[in-house]
Amino acid sequence: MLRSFAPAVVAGLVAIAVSLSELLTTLYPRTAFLLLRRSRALYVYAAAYGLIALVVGLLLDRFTASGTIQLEGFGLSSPWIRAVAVGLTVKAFLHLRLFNVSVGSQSVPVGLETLVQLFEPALLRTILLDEFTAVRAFTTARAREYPSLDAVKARAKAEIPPTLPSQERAAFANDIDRATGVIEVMEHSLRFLGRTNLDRVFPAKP
Amino acid sequence: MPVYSHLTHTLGAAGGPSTILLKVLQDYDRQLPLDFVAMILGRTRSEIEQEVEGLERQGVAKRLGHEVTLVR
Repeated sequence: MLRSFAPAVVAGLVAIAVSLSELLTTLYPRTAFLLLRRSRALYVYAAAYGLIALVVGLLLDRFTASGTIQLEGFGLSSPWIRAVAVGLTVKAFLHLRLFNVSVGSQSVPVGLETLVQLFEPALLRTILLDEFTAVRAFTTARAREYPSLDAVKARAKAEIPPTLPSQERAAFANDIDRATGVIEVMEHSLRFLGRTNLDRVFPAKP
Repeated sequence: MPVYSHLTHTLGAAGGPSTILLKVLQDYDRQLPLDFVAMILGRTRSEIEQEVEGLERQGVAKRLGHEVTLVR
């Protein structure tokens, strides 16, 4: 029992690491430090994929042991390699869909992704809101130290890294021009340039 | 809009509206209808038009009737 359970646990841990890092690096690359501290939904999201990978790992081990299915490929005869492969691929595998069913304006995927639809959209929405709340709290505290909107806008635009592509610099400058408050400028700066640059341009005052 | 809600989510934390609009134009890399951009970003067309005007002033994007494209 333990011999099949330990690799499944490894599959779960790999899936947790993969789903967590994929979400943070693709959607919240510059505000991940806030989410990691404040969002319980983020960990539930990762744990859900970990749990599914664990179950898949157990089933795979049982079916390969009984000869029901055969896996062929480099290293796949080892349960540990299989576990790592399950952990790395389970998220992509779960997003397979056979077709979509349209109900009014809603489109419901049918396939393995139907399972994902039970938990992922709600968790992603919660994570999005957690990120907003965390960013707003962080920038509100910093904005109190810089009361002049015009001065903040001028400094934010003057400190855009010249090494960035010109189109990105121009779009960011436009966002700053159109901002109506210091908090908004700080939020744009944090999301676009990250914490290190925000601290450099608008350092926290002692 | 629900069909594209994953895109709205993806772009939700990417930055300000102009930065997000630029990202959409870069990702699709083609002329896009304003209504389509408004739909995938979950904004009204007039909001998108305002952002396009801002990007036009910066020389980043160009409006062509009911469509918008990047300036090369």
